[in-house]
Order: sequence, then structure tokens, then C-alpha cells
Amino acid sequence: MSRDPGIWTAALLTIVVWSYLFKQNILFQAVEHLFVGIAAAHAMTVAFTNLRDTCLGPALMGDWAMTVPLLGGLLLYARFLPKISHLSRIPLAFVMGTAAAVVIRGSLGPSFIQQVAGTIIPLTSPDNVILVVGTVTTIAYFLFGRKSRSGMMDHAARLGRYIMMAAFGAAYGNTVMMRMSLLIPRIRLVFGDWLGLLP
Amino acid sequence: MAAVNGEWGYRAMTFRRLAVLDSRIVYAAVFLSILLPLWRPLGLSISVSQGTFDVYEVVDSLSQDDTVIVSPSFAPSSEAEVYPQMEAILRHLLARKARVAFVNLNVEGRMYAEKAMTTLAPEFGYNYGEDYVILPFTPGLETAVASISDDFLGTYERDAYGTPLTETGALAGIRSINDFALVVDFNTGDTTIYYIQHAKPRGIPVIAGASGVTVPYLTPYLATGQLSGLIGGLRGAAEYETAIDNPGMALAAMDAQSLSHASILALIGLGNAAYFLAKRDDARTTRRSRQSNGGELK
Repeated sequence: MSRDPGIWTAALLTIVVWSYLFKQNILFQAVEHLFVGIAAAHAMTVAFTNLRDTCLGPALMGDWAMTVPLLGGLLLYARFLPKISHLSRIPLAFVMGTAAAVVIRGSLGPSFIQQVAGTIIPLTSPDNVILVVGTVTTIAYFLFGRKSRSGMMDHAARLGRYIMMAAFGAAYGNTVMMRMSLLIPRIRLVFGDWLGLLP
Repeated sequence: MAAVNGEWGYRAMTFRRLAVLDSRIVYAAVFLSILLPLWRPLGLSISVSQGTFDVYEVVDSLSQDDTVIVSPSFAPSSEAEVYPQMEAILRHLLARKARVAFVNLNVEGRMYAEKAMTTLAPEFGYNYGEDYVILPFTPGLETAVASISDDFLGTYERDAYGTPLTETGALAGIRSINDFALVVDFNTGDTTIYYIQHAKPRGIPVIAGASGVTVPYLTPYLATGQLSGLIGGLRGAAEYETAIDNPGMALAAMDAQSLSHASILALIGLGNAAYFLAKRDDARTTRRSRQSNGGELK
């Protein structure tokens, strides 16, 4: 059995979390709160460190250009003061504009045009047929312009729904696979690193 | 309650009980299916898929003069799947003598880079600064990748420990992202897509190691050739360990992974069979009851 206090802590916390599978209990609730608290503290520490390292620190060291984003950040809080609340729109507009520019520039080619081009392929193999039919019928499902669907459109939309269900099933299967991958190291920690029962 | 009064009724009850099996029995079955193969490994064989082989080929084509960006963009919640991938590919990169720059888009990235290199650097004779460098955490995700792609040296003036990049031999000759031979991103989110959107158009091949959940989102980029290779989940890591002939933590876990999947499939099959058989037996019981009462259901 391990003598490492870190392993003991991790193993005991893991067992308490597992205990929820048997029944809801106060120890599980305590560990749940501990987790939320640590996660919140971690997020705050990361945010503060970012602010200190990328902006506040350089500004205090004489890099006056850094006072501009600092001022912008402070102006975001102006919305809590009714008289100057309109000032919060200035940094918000800057953030929105920059984000939109970066996203549109990046995604238009690789995530839109090239993806559309990727579906314009010869129907010479089963893979290609599935890809083209799947794309067209899934789009057909989301064509809401017509008041009623009938004939070919109805059949295409129904097929599109089945194809989406297959895709969601595959995504869910991957999620289950991931959960199993997460469980394996925890079992190894408790039965191997802590109790020393595994080879 | 006609269903419980006859032979078929009892069978229907049995099937119905199976269909609503206590979830704790399901948990115990899955738990044991993982624990037992860890205790007594079965040694199931692993075949290397074409996707993993494509990643292997890209890494294997690197030379000693090449510098590679490795981006550990994952968090502890997916460490079990993605870290074994990172260690396996890093082992291959170091065997090819490629220089490595760790770009950290996540706070935890630096921790994983240090953890991996603490083990691998002495094994492959790598020295910090000379053969590899760890860059500081860069917040912003897509904005950060766009910034790195537009102006690498403008984004990074120093490494994670404060040393000016001009003093690190690992990045000698690097002026922009075009000077890198490859981007390898290990992710659980969209970071690979950001590299495809901002680094790939500059001619840098991108390969990725991803958690199982992320694989369906990256597959369209693989199909269009924008992603040069993709390995997914613990299985992908195990395949890569097989490809480089270096069994590691992923291969050791594959017996447990395979058996747990088999147990889940068996439980899904059992649950569905129980549901449909109970439904069929209910219908039979109702029909018999009708016949014995001259068409009236009691």
C-alpha cells in the first residue's frame, strides 16, 4: 500500500466520488463542493495571472501602451454606473469587431468554402455516395422555407434525419469511449498505485 | 394484470425486470470489466489503422533540421486519452531528432510539456533551449493562433522561463511560422481547427491527436486534406505505440478498454432484447386472454 499522502488523498476522493453511484451521500456532496471551489479558485488565479503578466506588469514597468487595454477593461464596468454606462460599449465594440474579423478571416476558406468543395466529388465509390447523399439530405431537413413538404423533399428530409441520428450515435459512442478511458486511470490509481493490487 | 397470471405472463415479468435492471448492477459489471483485465491482462492484439499510419508517415518524413510546433491544448479532464498520444508522438519526433517548440494555448499546456520532457529529454539526449523550448501560455485561443501565424517572434519574445528566444538554439533560424515544418496539436476542443484556419493556409501541415469526443468534429477537415493526419482516443494512442514499436500506457489499458466496450454492448443488447421480448409476450398474453374469454378482455 502506498505511503504517498498525495496518492492517499486522490484515492480517497475518488472512492467518495464513486460512492454516488451507490447512493447520494453527504461525503459526495462535500467533495462536489470542494471540486467547484478549487475550480473557481483556479479560474480566478489564471485570470489574475494573465492580467498581471500581459498587461498590469508591463504597464507598471513603463510600457504605457498597456494602459490602453487596461482602460478598456475598466470601461467594461461602466455599465454598472447609469450616467456613464454608454462608455462600456467602446471596448465591447472593439472586442466584437476584432473577434468577428479573426473568425471570418479564418473560417471562410477552411471551414466553409473548402468544406463545400469537399462535397463536390465524383460518385465513384460507396464512401463518396454516402458523403454526398448525407450532405444533401441533411441540408434538405433544414430547409424550412416551404410551408409543406411533399414528394422527393419529404423523403430526402426523412433520410437526412436518419443520417443525423447515425452521426449523433457515433458522437455518443465516442463520448462513452472517452468516459471509459477516464475511468481506467482512476481504477489503476485506487487498485494499483494506492492498494498495490495491480501488476 | 393478465400478464402475470400465466406462463407467458411470468416470462414477460422476467424480461421487464431485465429491462429495468438496477443501474448499480450495470455499474458493477462495467467496473469489473475494467478491473479484471488490469489485474490479469489478456494481451489482445492491436492493428494500426490507416489514419494512425498517415500520422506516422508525416512524422517519419521529418529530418534533423526541422523544427516542429507541439501544442498540448488539453486539460486534466481528457489527460487519460490525449497525454498517451502526446508521449507516443513526441517519442517519435525525438527519435527523428526534430527540434520542438511547445506552444501553450491552455494554462495546463506547460505542465504537460514539462512532464513529458522530464522523462523523454534524458532518454533521447535532448537539452532545454538547444533542442526544445517551452513557450509561455498564450491566452486568446483563436486570436492567439492568428497572432502566432501572423507574427511568431512578435508574439513570443521570451520562453516560459523568461529567456529571450534569440538566446535559444532550438529556435535559431525561425523568423515566422513558415519556418516550422509541422504543427502537432493535442486537443479536446477547437484548437486544431484554429491551426487549420490560420497556420495551414501558410503551407504548414497540421496533424492532431484528439479525444474521442472531438474526432467527429475534425473528420471533415481530414476528409478534405486540410488535416494531414488524426489519431483519436486511447485506441489511437495504442495504435501509435504499436506503430513505433514502443508499448506504453495506452497499450496497457487497451484490454480494459476493449472489455468495457464489450460489456456495454452486451448490456445494450440485453436491455433491448428484454424490452422487445416483454412487449411481444404482453401482446401474446392479451391475445390468449381474449380467446379464452370469447373475445372479451378481462
